[in-house]
Amino acid sequence: MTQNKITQVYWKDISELLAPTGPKSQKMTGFDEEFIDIVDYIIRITHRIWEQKNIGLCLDYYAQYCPVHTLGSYSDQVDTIVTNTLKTIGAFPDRSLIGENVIWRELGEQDGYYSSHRITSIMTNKGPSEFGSATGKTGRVTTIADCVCFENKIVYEWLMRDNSFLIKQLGIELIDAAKHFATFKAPDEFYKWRKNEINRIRKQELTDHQWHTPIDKTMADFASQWLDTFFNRKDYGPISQFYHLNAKVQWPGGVESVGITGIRGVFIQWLAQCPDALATCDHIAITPFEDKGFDIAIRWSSIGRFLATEPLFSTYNGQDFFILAATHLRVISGKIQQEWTVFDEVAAYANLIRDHDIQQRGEPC
Amino acid sequence: MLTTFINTITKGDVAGLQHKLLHSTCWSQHLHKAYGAGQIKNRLICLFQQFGKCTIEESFELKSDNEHIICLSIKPEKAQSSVHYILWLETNGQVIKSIDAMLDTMKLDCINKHSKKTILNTLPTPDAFILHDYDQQNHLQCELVTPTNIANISDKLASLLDAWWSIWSAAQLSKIDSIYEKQANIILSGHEDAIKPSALFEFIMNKYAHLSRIFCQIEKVIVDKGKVAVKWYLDGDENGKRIRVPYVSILSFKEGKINQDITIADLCAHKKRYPESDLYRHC
Repeated sequence: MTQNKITQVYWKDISELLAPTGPKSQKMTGFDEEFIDIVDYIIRITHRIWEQKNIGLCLDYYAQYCPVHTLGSYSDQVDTIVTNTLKTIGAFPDRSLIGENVIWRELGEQDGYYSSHRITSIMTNKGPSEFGSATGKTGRVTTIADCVCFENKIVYEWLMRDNSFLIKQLGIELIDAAKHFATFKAPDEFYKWRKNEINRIRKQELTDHQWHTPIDKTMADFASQWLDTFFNRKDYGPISQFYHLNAKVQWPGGVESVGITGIRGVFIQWLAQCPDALATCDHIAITPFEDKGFDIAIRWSSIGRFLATEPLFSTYNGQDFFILAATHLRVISGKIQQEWTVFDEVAAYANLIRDHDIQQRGEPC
Repeated sequence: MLTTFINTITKGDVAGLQHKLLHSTCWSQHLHKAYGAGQIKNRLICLFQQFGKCTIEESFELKSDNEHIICLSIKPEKAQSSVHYILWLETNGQVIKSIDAMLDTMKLDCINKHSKKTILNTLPTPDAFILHDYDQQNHLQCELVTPTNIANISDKLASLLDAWWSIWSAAQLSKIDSIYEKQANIILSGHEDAIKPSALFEFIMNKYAHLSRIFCQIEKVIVDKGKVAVKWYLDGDENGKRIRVPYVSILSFKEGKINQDITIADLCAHKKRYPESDLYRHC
């Protein structure tokens, strides 16, 4: 399988990843000659921009027009990416980006590559951020950045960050972080996109971003069924058909669980706050994990009516609760051994607050 | 790997260990995950603070594929006895991907003759952690892990190990007498000295009496050289709040019975994560 020749990051140190010695293992049409495959491209440009602080390289590695979707905002100009990167590094000056995995898919000659990059960041909050004033505390956060990469540039991005886990380490309460985040006005395009997404998910329609390059059908079906069984059917009996008995999962905000009964609890407790939620599987990428199994990256979205499980948020009951999420699954011998699910709970709650405030002001949503 | 860790802990050889770590290595200890050069250096400084000058009284390792378990009995220079430190490594033999370490902090605190406050102050703030509640009952769904259904274990050892697990997971206390040697050496966090099987009976019974809705879950089992290492969790409701205590057990056998059981939990980190918990108040 040609996929096995592509860079695997698991056992490699950053020094080795930054100086690849092997031959080019993917065509990489239009990419700089130095990049041997899409994993190499993602790892090296991330290191150069974020860890080596070459923020200006965003101008080289992002398209001038590059839509970036997060759960809390939207941008499409490379200048905004430069500005946001600078602001984040200003607030978290020692931010390190540790590449945990890159799961990718070839999209064809006309479209390039899709990459789903899971990153662990360690960072100290020394300046004002989207969550409030500087706290001086160091935190850790998991991010999954899904990018479409074409001719040496990122041309589309969906960015999911576990901000509720980060803010807890910074000593900030979720409600306070969400209220602060809600004070930042998102561009009109964000509201349009979110409205369209909510309608689409309710109708259970596919996204506009569909590629038809082949992927492993068995694993793709497994990923689709995972989402459909637990989020749409809300059927938690079959957890053991999907997960090993000692599987381990990580969800936003510090949710961790091991084993079937605990994992069942993770799904049930989370969906209890939007019990009529529906979800769509928006993209799947599958790559081998060494010679042991497969890594699957799923980008998904969900919408449901919010039903607070914490009294602090009960004001927002009945409102649309929209999630843009990414999940990485490590599948060994046909079942999930480890799962990382990432979305931004701070932004999700901030959206409830924003929508509530808009309704209070009598403005159209 | 064993020599590397011994040199690091006893001689302060930081570089020797760092040479084996990746940019992405995670070192989990005291209910906190450290990533990156800065945090991992802090972890080592914390270890040096906790042990001071020390010697290794006993060491052994278990290996299976990419899992490598190192068990050290460490005696601080000024202490009268030693403390167990278990490192569960994910390694390819050249580099270390992750370290999941369990230190018997309560005993270390005791033998260092420090106040509990002192050792608590050397520990990092535990990671934010949410244990979503769940139905701890099985409902005949055969979803509960036993050592034998996630590890390749010989028939002879299998029944012994499953019986051991039933003691913790199902309070099957009657098994204690049948699977432990009468004079078995049991090292159990919360006890300054090794205990005998009868004290293990008391300890587990007390946990079942103190917590409701107890559920035990195994994460990993490694068998090597006649020893078995088990990474597992004790969950339960304490005053209505669901709590979790991670444990590591290493069992040794003689003539079909357990003759040594090292079962370690980081009880000071537990206290830091759950300040209101009284689960180990008698320890």
